[in-house]
Amino acid sequence: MVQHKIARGTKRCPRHTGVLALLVFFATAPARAQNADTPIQLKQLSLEELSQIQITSTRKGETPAFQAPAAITVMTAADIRRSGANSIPGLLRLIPGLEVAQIDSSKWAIGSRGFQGKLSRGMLVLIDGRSVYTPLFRGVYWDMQDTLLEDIDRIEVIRGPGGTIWGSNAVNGVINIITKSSRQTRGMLVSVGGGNVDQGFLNWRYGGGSDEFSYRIYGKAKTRGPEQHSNNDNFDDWRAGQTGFRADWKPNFRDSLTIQGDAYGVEAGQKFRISSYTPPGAQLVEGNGFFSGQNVMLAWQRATNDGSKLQLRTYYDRTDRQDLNYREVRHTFDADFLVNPAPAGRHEFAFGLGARVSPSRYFQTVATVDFLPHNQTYGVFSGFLQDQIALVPDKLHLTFGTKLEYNSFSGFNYQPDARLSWTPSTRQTIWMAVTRAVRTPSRIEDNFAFTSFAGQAAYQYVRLVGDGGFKPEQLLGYELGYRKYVSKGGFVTVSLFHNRYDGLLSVEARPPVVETSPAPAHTVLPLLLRNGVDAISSGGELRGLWDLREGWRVGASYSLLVLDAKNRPDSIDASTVGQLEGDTPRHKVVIQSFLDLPHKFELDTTYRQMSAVVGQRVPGYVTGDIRLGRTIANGLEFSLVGRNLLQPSHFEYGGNPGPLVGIKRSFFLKLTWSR
Amino acid sequence: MECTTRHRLALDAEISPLRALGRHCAGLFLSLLLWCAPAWTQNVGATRQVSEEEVKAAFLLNFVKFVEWPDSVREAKATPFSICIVGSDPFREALDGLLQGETVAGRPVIVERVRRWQSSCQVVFVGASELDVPQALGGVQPGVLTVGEETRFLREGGMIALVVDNHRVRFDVNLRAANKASVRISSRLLAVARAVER
Repeated sequence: MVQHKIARGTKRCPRHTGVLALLVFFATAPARAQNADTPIQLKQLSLEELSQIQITSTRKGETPAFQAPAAITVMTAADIRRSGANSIPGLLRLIPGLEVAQIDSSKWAIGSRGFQGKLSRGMLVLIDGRSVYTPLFRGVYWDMQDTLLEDIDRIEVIRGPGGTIWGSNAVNGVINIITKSSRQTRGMLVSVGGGNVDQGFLNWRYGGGSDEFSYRIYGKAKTRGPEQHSNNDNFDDWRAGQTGFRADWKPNFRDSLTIQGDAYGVEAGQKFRISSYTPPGAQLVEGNGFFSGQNVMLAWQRATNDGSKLQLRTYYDRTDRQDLNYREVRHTFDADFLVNPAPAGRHEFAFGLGARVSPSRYFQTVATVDFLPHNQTYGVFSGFLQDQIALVPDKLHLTFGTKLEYNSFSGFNYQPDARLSWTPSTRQTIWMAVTRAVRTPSRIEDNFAFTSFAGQAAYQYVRLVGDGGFKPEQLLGYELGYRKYVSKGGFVTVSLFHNRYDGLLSVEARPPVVETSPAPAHTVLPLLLRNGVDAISSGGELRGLWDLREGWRVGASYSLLVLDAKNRPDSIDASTVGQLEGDTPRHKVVIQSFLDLPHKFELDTTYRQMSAVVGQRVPGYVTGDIRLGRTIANGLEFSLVGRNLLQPSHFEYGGNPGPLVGIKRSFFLKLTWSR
Repeated sequence: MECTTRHRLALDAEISPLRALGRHCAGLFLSLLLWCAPAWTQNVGATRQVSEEEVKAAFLLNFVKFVEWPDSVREAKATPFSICIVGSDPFREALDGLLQGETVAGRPVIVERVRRWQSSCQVVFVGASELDVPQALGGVQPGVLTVGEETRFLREGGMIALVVDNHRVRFDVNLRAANKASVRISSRLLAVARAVER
């Protein structure tokens, strides 16, 4: 992966903002399309009038990001505003190649090119470079992740393996959520609204300072009601509050410093099936999960005129998660150092070092769910080295590099890649890549015991056992991509992939054993976590975006995914293959229209189609969202958003005991005031 | 916590997309989305938001017009009036479109993208992505207007800095630098400036 072209967390120096492949597109599409007559109107304005025009900040990295040899989709602040979505998963569902399904009011199942699940296994998510991947359950708790959507500069989604840059567990994709510099968010913003499911929300931000030193503080609170339950068991309400700050200082032309932090608290209604060693064996329990977290990050970047760059980032992140059947408190300390020396002839080198230490404390609240030892510290230490060679300057580039990593669960691993990009003209790019990536064990696979009442007869249980016998899952990925500008402001992009997974997680049954402790005596069927399954996935994403005419932009995407898994000869796992294949929706279609109407109205529509998730007993569905927005006065905007409009409710994914939860047709009205 | 021992049941085949379309009136929705809209899209240019680079380009043109150019500039009628962008071009196409057909002191205005200042440049623009402003401005002769972005540009010797303030483009002027280089900025321009260093 071309390291210097893809933002690795926060890089704010404009020249290096990293990135950005399609970003340039999205960012400039409106400007390009409207060039035809707007400048003439602007020319006729007086200096005073020019000074009063409210602008959309579209300027982004100047690098020819269009050439980035990876399957990247970038969602900009403008896309976010006009999507009408008010959660991060709600935004991600518009991106091709990501499978995003809502389980209930607060829970989501998200996958990248397959492997969809409540914890998005094998996918990294970073907010300004801070990893929110938990090494407890190898995934992301989507119900804890949030930020002020108005402060997001862009969301970059890299589908496919990204282990060379991002390290372990970036097997299927990387999601980078990048917030704006506080220089861009000076002023006051308040938005407030509510509706039938999003019952109420309040967001505010205040920013100030100068170009050299600027800051902002923000806060948000929301409450969401339950989704549709056929048995009227409305357990899934969701309340959350979050606050945070960011300050950016640019003491001179070379250096920039950023300090930022967040604190949040979440209360989410849950329903669990909790087993016990005493009769009745298992009970359905409802209650609230409590999650909270605090983090603070310090980043320093130095960029000099000869093109060299240096970046150091450190952060501390604390999470406290209390579900109905366990609690974990985790402290993460992370330091990351990245160097891009000045280009030397045809070579552009990059290298980096990283260290993360993450002590975790487990609090057992239910006898049947345990991690032993309760307290464990996870450590990862990594280095990476990359060279980009201009085989033919400005036309043909070869990038290769590798990550070398040591982690406390599985020891040493390496994750190399090689990428070739050919840019026959500035209007098109063809690229291909071969990458190796690994998913390393987590506490689940290392020291976990999850016992579940088997349900057939009293005192009979099955137990998932992570005993350290699981080795890293490996992926060898082949990718091919093509991008082309089709006309002013329009483009087409195609990405194809073929992934070979080696040693995916399986559950291998062992002979039952009788346990007398804890009493009463009971039989346990151990299911050991092993690497008994191999898989091949193939597919691709096709996406286009056009300005059909002035003030009307239309985008469409189609994603295809075919997954074929099989047991290894020594595996007796009877469920994983069916689960992997059954939980993978094959087709996804998203069509979006952004329309500017007279009298400052905006009408934005989204059409979404997802094929069945057979393993979850979820039929395919088609639905749509509409946003109607209008600027009422300077700085005051209202929007009316309707979501899932084509049916009263529809199913997207399972994950709770009991019947599937229907996702409701919902509406909300939002008022935004900014100054 | 995700329980991995799930019981699965066979399910009927997926709903075919076409059937789904019919059943959910999605066709209607889609056609509304795609084809009912064009009628309204006429004449909406005035209501849309304008990009930063477009407004900055318009300002740049105004600056050029509100500088009282010396006779030497007026006399060189045979050559175009050249605005040079040093380093990477933040305007992309916005500036070229805007300057089409424009003249200054009777000379047609053109945009040149250059690595360093050269003698043909009457105006030098240095984008915010240029890290070392003093180096970018090195060798610029008197009589040349220098425009950049962010207030640091003024501290580093520039004359006019475009700044984004509260979602609006404004500009600051370093009159000392302009006077030193014998560039005469009209009082009309100074009146609109956010700040003027004298």
